Amino acid sequence: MSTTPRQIRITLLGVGILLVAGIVATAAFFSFSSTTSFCTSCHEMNVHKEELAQSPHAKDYDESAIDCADCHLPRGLGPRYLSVKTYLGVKDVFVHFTESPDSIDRRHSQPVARRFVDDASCQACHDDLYKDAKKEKDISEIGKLAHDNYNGKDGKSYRLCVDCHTNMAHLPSFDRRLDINQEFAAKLVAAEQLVAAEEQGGAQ
Amino acid sequence: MITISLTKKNMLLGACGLFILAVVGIGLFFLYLNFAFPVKHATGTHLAVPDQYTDCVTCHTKVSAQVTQDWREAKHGVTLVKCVVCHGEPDGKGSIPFMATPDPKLICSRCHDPAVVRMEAKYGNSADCYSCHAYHQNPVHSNAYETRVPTTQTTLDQPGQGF
Repeated sequence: MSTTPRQIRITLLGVGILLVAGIVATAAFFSFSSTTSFCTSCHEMNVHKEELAQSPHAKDYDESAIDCADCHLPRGLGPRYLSVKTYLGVKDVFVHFTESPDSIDRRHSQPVARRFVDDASCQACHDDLYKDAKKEKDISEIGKLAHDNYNGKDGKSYRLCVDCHTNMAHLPSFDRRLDINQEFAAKLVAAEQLVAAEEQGGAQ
Repeated sequence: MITISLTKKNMLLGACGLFILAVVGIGLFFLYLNFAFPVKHATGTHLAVPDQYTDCVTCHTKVSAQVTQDWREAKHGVTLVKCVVCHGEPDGKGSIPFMATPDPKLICSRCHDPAVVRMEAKYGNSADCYSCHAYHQNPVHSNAYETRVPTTQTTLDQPGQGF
């Protein structure tokens, strides 16, 4: 059995069509699977969704909801986005089918999540590092020193935004004791009590 | 004119080629991922605030909240063994070198020399002190939770080594 040039041309055309269709399908799937409703359709993401709702990062400056992908995926469609999307996607599917939600250890998932929160994602909103979140007041003296260091003006830090600004949108139970998280922890506890009270009321 | 015959040999060669391509592709993927999102970042240099060099806690209670609070709640914090005693000063002055992870041979033994000698006589050389001493009764800040090794042992006795 041998192939003629005509057969090769037909094969090449088929491969080309398949490739284009594959790229379109992948793009559609990537965009669909990056929505918050898709992320939180799995049971293990419920806790993260509830924490985000009580956090200062629930809504952005224009009062619109902040999505998971806004922080957890790099911006744009470059290699940074594609590699993180692929890696985290495959990892999440693997963990979803091999582990139970109770066995997920958030002390281990914290560093993984932090590794892939791009500084550019933070700075898409917080573009002036010397103003507060509402861009009105100057930040504290300590904050200015730390951001000088981050910018390389005074020493040089290679840490990411999230290496210093921890627990910005999520707060596992073991981080609730930290003094710096007291306000966030109180809100979460209040929300949990509200849910518990409603459940009790419903049961009666 | 090109002709490719679909013999068994050619198909096998093609499959091998595809497999090698896949392996190389996955390898390159992880190489890029580790380059773009490094697990460990380069060591930076500390900012210069000469009048605050020994007042670490004011900033670090914010920029490394967990480590600072662990220290404050632990024996070393309660007895006010300050950061500089183990970590040195950022300007590099003084006898203690400035480092994030102090060398136990150099640092721990400055105060705990008799205990270190005793422990080494009993159990031999250990690579570090933290992996045990952070976890039990003396939680100096460290990631003991992550580095702990589960054991099935239920007593303190070690075979061949009397207490």
